[in-house]
Amino acid sequence: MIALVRSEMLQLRTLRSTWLVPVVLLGLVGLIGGASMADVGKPGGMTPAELREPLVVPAGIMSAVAIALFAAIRVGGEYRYDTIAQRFLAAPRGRVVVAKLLTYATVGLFLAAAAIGLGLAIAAPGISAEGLSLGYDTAGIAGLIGSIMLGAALFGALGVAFAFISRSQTAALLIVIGLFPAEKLAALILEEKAAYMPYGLLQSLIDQGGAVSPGVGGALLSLTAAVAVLVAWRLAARRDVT
Amino acid sequence: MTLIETRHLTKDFGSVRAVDDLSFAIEEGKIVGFLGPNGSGKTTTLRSLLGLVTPTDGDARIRGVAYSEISDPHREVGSMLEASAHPARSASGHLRVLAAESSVPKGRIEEVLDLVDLAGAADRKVGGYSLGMRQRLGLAGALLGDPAILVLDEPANGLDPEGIRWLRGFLRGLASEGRTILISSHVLAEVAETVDEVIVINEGRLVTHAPLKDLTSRPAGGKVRLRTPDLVRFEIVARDCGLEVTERNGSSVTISGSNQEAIGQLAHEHRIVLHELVSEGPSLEEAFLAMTDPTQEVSR
Repeated sequence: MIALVRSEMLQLRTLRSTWLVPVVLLGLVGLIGGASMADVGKPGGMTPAELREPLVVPAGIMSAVAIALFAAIRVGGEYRYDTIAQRFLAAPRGRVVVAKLLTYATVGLFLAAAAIGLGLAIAAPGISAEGLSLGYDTAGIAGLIGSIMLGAALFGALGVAFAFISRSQTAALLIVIGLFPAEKLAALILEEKAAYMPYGLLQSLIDQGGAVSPGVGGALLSLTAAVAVLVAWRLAARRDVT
Repeated sequence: MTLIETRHLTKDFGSVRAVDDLSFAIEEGKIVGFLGPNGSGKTTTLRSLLGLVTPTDGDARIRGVAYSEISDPHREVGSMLEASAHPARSASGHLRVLAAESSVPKGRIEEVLDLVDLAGAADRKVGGYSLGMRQRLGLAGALLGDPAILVLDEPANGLDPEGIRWLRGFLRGLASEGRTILISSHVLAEVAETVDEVIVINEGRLVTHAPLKDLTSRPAGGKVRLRTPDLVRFEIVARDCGLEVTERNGSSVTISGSNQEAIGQLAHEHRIVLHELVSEGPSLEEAFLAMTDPTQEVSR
């Protein structure tokens, strides 16, 4: 398994476009965070929740979406360029799925950590200088960072699963991108039940207006990702590679 | 020792039977051409052998076990199914990924790039490669683990004459190292100078599995050409013996349905002088086409 994960990491390193993902993500997080902090201290004041939003939403949502898209593109690309057969010839298919899962979940963890770290680095000095607070103690900050990292890791796993299930780069991308508007549309019919879909659960996990507590959101999102990965694992093992 | 074997291998894709009760065995050290027209089931058979396609019935084995049961597959079996690689990755990057999967030392990458004459283009993106270069990269990947068994699916596909010549020499080199090679093609001439045996399939079924020389010595397609100054008398004698003169060209005739020895004996018995007596078996291509043409009766 170590050799397979090492090979997956090498696959990422041997394509220059890989580096676009952190550059674009961190650029956007920095841009949004910096722009938002420009309003800090202006008349009217900001509540801790208002201060947290431009910090948590870009890092939490964008890093999760970025790693899901990245996983869908790269794993779907294995089908697009017919290199998936090479992966399955080197190792049992289930292990290939697990190796990709571990790789993209790990990359998601690091991406999210970097995004929230950058957001905090931009926000903290300005907030502190104005005598304001995010309303978190040390444990709260740790919990926030942990939930953002978990969200990204789970969305990375979902991206991998969608690619294995669809066996198509385009379809996997459309699923990741289309899930968000699909959830909004589903809310019109399912009402609050739509909050139990992946993006709704992510909002709960990072405590940004979800329907359930972060703990329950994290647990349900983990369950959703586990089911998707299990389906992907079963299909990858059983389908012919033609 | 049998290294590669299929036993009653059958594969259906929906209502289409791609491979139909196919059984063959390949002995160690043999270079075997796996031939058949496009759509005859060659790729499905090879993918079944490599565990990528699950047979509907029967099985395919390497050294007596299914591919999935081989503990270190890249070191045991090298395969080239498609000349596939991510177009934005360099050749060396592509091979580094394959090497990492199988824990092959990095030094081997340079060796195989040298073997396929790609060392000079190792750092170029694969997307900029010609089809021939991509085929060579595929061969490099197959050789990475220095396997004793090679399974190559249409490696000459799309190659220009220069590329095909290079491939023949390359395969001859691999053969001289004692490897067992199964190489598929839909063009017999591509592999005819390299292989020891041929397995011919058509519509998923085995047509023949024989040494290459047997293909051209089958009596059904045999002809004998002779040249004689006494052509008129020879034709009379030939007809009296029930032989068919199929072609006439100056002092030469071509006789079907006999062989060199019988014609020589006949001429001698009738004191007819022969200036030339040549056995004209069917060309390899003719033999192959005859076997895979559903409108012709097949000699099996």
